[in-house]
Amino acid sequence: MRDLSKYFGIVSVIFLIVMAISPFKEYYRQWRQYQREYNKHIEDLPQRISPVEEGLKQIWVPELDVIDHCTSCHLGLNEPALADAPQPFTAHPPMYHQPERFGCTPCHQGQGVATNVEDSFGFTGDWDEPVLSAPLIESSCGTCHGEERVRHAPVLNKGKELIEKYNCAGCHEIKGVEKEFTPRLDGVGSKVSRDWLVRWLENPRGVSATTRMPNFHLSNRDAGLLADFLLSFTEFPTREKLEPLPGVLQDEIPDSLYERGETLFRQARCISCHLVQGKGGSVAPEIGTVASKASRQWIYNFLQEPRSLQPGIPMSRYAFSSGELQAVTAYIATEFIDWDAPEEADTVAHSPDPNFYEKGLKLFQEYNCGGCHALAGVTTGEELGPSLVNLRKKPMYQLEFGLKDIPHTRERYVIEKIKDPRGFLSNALMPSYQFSDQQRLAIATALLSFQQQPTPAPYRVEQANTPKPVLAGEFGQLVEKYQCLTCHQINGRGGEIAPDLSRSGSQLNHEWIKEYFRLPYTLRPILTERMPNFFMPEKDIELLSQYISLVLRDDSLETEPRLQSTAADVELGRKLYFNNYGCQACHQLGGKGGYVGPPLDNLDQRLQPGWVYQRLKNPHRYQPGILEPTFNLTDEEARALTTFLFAERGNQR
Amino acid sequence: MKLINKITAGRIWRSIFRTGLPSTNYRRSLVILNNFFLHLHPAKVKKSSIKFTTTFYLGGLSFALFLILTVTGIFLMFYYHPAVPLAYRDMKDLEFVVSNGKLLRNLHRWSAHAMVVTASLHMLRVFFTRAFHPPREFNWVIGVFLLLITLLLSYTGYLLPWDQLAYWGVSVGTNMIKAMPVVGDKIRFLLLGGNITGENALLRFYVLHCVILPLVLSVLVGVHFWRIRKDGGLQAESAGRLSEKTDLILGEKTNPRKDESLVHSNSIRSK
Repeated sequence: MRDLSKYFGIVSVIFLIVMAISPFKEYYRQWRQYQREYNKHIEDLPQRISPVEEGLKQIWVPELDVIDHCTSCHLGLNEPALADAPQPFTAHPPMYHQPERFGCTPCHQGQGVATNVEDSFGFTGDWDEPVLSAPLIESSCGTCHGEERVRHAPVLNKGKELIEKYNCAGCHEIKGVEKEFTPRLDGVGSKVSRDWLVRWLENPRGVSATTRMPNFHLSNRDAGLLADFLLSFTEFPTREKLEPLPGVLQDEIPDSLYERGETLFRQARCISCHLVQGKGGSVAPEIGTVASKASRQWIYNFLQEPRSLQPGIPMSRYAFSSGELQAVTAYIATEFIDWDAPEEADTVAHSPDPNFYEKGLKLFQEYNCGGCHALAGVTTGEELGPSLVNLRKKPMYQLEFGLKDIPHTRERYVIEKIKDPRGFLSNALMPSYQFSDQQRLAIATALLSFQQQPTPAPYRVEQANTPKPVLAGEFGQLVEKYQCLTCHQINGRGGEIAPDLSRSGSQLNHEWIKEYFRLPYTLRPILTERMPNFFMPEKDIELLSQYISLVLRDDSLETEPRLQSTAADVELGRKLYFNNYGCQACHQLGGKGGYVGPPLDNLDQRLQPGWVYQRLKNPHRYQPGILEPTFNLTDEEARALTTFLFAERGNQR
Repeated sequence: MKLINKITAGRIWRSIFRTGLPSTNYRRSLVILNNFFLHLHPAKVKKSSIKFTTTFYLGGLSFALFLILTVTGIFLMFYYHPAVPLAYRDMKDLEFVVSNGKLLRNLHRWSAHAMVVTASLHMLRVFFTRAFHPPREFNWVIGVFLLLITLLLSYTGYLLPWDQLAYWGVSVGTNMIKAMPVVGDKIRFLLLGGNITGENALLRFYVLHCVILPLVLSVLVGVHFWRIRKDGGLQAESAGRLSEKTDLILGEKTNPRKDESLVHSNSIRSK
């Protein structure tokens, strides 16, 4: 009996000790230690910062279903004095959203409810959303912000742009991104040679370094089969046959025609959009070797009526006369030859596989070529790749890491997948793109912003959906013909390369507009993209300029103050221009000044005073993004400057 | 001393501690008999039955673990909501926020595992000491039910954290029930409160785990303990010396009630 009591005593003591471990651990929990450390840390600082009251801190956002304990240790988030303090006390960089309303994990991810470093960062295997690494943080912006361009999120915007540009939606389901099917492949048989097509299919970038088409790593045999299949499509979408070449282009091209073509090619400013031998814009495809790709007949027909061969493309239809058309064709056909291309094999000797159509069609479908290219009689591509609509929240066990030896995190998965799509599974079909590291990060950022479940309404920011009137009538037809909206915007539609024309009628002089259409010049010499010379007929010029001057106006700009051309005003303006605001730093006037902004000589011929006055008052009124600084001019100063700028012409002459 | 004497002589004291100090055998037996909690016990046990190696205290350990489980379980119930959006979050709260919550949960968890082990070993001990022989065959059957309920408690508790392990454990388990002929589907439906492991299943498992099964277990444990007394204490040492006249149902036919002064003759055997 005595023995038992002894054992009982010993066991009881051990039990008590064991029971005491937990309260001790409780007292020394990590977050408590951080809070004590924080209070010690701020005592040593010169500034007075209120110490933290010991206790678990929590942000609760019921609408987002968020409970975050992050602020239990990250104590200096709103203390600018702690910008250089060690983590976890460091101040947060500029915050666009207050944590009290938004929590921490909706942007940073991680396990908000956890109270120690390891668990809250979430790299523990039982948490699917570990803390996002800094380069990808903008993906979180995209979960609430549905605008086309999200402010302060350049990486996300770039990623969305790239996803659209490279038509990821062709193979993957992506919400809000439209599929694009250009160029159509109908008629490709009447355009390119078999040798070129095989070379292209084997490695598109080897032929044109700027192409968007990825490399499918086709074998020579597969590329040949696919080429034979594609070459059987000789009819164009809107017409069956190409017009025959005029006689002068059928044989050797005379030098005189070539020279005339060269002049016209320059006058038309084709390289504003097309890249030629490393020079030119990036709006349209590279054409430095187009003569080795497309037949002379195709080039001739294309220049004549671009959208009859490729419906929907943004190429302007130039108003060339038939002689000019021949000359430009002659120039392109003789100049833009790919001298590095391997010798053309004897095409007659090639006899296609008897079942080339079936086999080619199978390849066409297997690699989902129809995801990007439309082809008459062949169904457009379906989404063969996995859906990307929920990549942010997709359960980790559904991500197939396969052969890849990388850390099993979502971020690494996405980035690696873009880098080496076929390295994950031996039978993967996704082609390889040659993105830079920056581009890859941007795409990963955009992809990681996709989640199926939208954030609750009060937190969601949608694209403002203002109605955009469609341009109709004769003006609309001309805008379509010259594809003005590829570069210019009118009433919210169009590109962002060239100035917005929605209010040009109030901005520009009618005569200047007409003269500009006849012979466009460049206002800002540092820009690559220049207004092409479309060789417009007088009839078109009249209509376009009338419409712009009469319809595309903003009447509020007409209420200009009376400009008194007194000598005093001019002198005040001159002083303001050169001394007070230093406008000459960016603008040219009388041959002196910088070239960031447009030159201001002969301003009276180009612009209207009301517009200039308003623009000086608030440069960002219509274009929030432009460089011109806002000086907050008084009415008097603005008037004086306007007077000076309009009077300056007199001094020039 | 005077004060103590006064208190112990007082009416309140004596109404609670009625038997006085257990100085004689008679008084000792009264202590047991007059106590609600102890009256399940025989008034006297043999020294050999208390020896550790006789029973390894496995039944007692199982009961002690059951008590721990009840207490920690009640504490856990203060923090736990049997609802799909909250259940797992409550686990996280217990781990990260509640003071000593991790200890609480781990005590419950490890005690549950230990109870399954001790109860199983208890069954083996009973088997190998032939303690299931008449007259204890009824208690053996009760014991089997107790073991089953222990396992069921373990299983119903498995779902409550509502993590992947729980979800799939229960999904697989209930699908195994479905394999039963004729009634399988119905039983599965009854258990899950539907056809999938969802909100209803969680609630049903919660009620089973926290109310129904513990109640049944408590009642059966009472019967189990009471039967030990009624069946003449532990089998233990007398196991090998069963009389040949033993009846399979009624036990020893001739029950020598020699010493009438003892409250229960079965508890005492002459050495």
